[in-house]
Amino acid sequence: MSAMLAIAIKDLRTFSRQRASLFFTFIWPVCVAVLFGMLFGGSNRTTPRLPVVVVDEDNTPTSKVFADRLIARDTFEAIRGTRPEALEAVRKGQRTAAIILRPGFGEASSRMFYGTPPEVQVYTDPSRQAERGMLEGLLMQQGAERMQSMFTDPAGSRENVQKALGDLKTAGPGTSPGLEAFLGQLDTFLATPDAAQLAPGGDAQGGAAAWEPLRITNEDLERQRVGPRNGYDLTFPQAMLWAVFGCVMAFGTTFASERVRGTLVRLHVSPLSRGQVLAGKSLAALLAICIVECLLMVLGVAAFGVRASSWSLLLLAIVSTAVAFVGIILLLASLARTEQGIGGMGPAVMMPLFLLGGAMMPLMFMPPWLATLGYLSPVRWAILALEGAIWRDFGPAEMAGPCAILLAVGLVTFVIGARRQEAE
Amino acid sequence: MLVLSHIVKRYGPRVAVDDLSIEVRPGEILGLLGPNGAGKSTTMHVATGLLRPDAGTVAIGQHGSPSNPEARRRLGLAPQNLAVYDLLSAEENLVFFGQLYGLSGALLKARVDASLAFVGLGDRRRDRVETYSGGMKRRLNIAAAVLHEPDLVLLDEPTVGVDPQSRNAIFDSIEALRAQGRTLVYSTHYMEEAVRLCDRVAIIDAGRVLALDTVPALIQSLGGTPTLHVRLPGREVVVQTRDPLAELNRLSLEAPVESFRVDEPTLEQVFLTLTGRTLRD
Repeated sequence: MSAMLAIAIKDLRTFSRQRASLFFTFIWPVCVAVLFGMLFGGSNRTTPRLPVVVVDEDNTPTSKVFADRLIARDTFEAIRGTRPEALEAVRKGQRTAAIILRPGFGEASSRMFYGTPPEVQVYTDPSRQAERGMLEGLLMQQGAERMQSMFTDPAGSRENVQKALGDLKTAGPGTSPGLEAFLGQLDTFLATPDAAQLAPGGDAQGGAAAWEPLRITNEDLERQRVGPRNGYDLTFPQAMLWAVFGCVMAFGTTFASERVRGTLVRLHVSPLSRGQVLAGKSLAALLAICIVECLLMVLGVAAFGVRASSWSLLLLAIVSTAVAFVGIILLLASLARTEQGIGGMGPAVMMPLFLLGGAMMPLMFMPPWLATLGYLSPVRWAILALEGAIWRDFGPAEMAGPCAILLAVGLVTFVIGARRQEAE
Repeated sequence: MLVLSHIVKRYGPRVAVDDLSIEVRPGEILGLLGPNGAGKSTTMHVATGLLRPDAGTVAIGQHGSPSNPEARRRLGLAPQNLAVYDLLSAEENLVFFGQLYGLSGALLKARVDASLAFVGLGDRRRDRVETYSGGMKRRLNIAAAVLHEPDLVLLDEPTVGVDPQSRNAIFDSIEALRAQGRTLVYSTHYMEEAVRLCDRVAIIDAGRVLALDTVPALIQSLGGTPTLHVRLPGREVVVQTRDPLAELNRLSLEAPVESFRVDEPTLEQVFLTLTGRTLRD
């Protein structure tokens, strides 16, 4: 076992020292993922306008004005809807959030600095924490702007102030003497001509520092995904396959190189069996493929918003892909006996498989006949498995099919390749 | 130490090794001398188990066939191709090859150090092999063959394409191995190497052993007679004779001898006698 590991480590070490191999197994796939990810629409997180649905359950003039202002904001791409429509849109991922102005919104808006503030419910997918935070800030900002606007309409504001003073007196004298005094002075001020020239932005805090202009209630709503979150969800599985292509070429060349340069002779003269030598070299290729796929995924998660819907199934997809292509490497190395042979045969065999399999063009954009032909390519099953774990929300049963096919491809090609190597 | 009995190996219709039998004695250096394509490398590969013979048997010491891992553990091979990894350093190469033989820890480090010192590459141990000269690579190739202290070392044309300085270093290494009591099989198509290094030489051509003996014995039995060149006034006499001194005395009585030289028979003549052509044909 330690000798097999020694072979694997040696192969990984030589692989890591080949600049061309590193370029084709990492740099090039990243370029593919980023470039095509941008072409396919990039990340939703960078979309300047947040798609939301606004529901007005209060249907008062105040709530209507608030909703209109919300819809008019540059930061939103907002539409109106009913509560069921809004929740369905969020659940299906068509809208990032549903903003619901609860019944009593208008009534609560007339109370300044006391009582329950106007209530807003916000429904978002739990994974959209960033959007949720941004939305909360924007709603608060609009709530504060609503209060500022009161001071630009002295007549209307005075009406609210007098109503508030009446409410406080009804509640009993001395309930909130500071607030009562402040509102009294405010009422007096609003009656003067100076109030009409008051600019927005005045400070009206007084004795109600803990009071907020809006009460925002955040609600989780699990999104049912029907497609990729963003372009990178599509391009990173493709990029992973390009990385696999780089590994196929690099390790196929290594196999041939060992044969041509005579180092394979030294391995076979050692006490190791040929099976152990083959296993050691295959282990190196398997590890390399898994490592580069994982590195690309890490990059996708860290920088491009790619997420796995199931990390365990993603690991299964990565390992199954690696097994399939280790077998293919071995078969190619047994067919093309020299480094030049691998250089010629590798792309000749792999490129059609990549074209049919959706590594050059996403499967969902392919014409049906081409997508059907793609069933012949292990690349298609590898991409399907990776997409299944990333954005297709595959369960174990759905993942079993592509992974079983990949493992079968790996097994068959490995056996044929190993027998051909043995026959030499 | 190594017994090859009636080995036959064919590549399609071509017979590369034809009923070849050799017994290598413990502690000796046995040379396989023959032109390119004579079957030397194929014989080496059959001896190490890399090739399965179509007929005949191979036995390594008491461990039998090279298909037995224990038998392979007792032998080291320096293939004709430079079987080292260019992208690794000399030290990394030897550590890797040592691990294949189960060496580890302090023993592995000691063997790597000793092997590098043995071939004079200690000061370049951390440099990548791709930066080495051809001669240095050849020496590393030998170090990898002796790293695990095998009883039997097979060196397949170890001086091909190296400069004279490296060639002498390789000769020194081989003589040091002989002094350590190792058994060596040394294939070459250079007669002078066989003469200098080998205790016995098997002359191989077309996959067959044409003769096998010590160099003096081969020359005596198959090299023909010495050639005497004598310059007399106005003429030169060339005579093949088993007793050059007696012939020289006889000629000196005829006329004063201006100069003379005696050409002793060589392995080249032995090869010529056996095959009708020279080694370099």
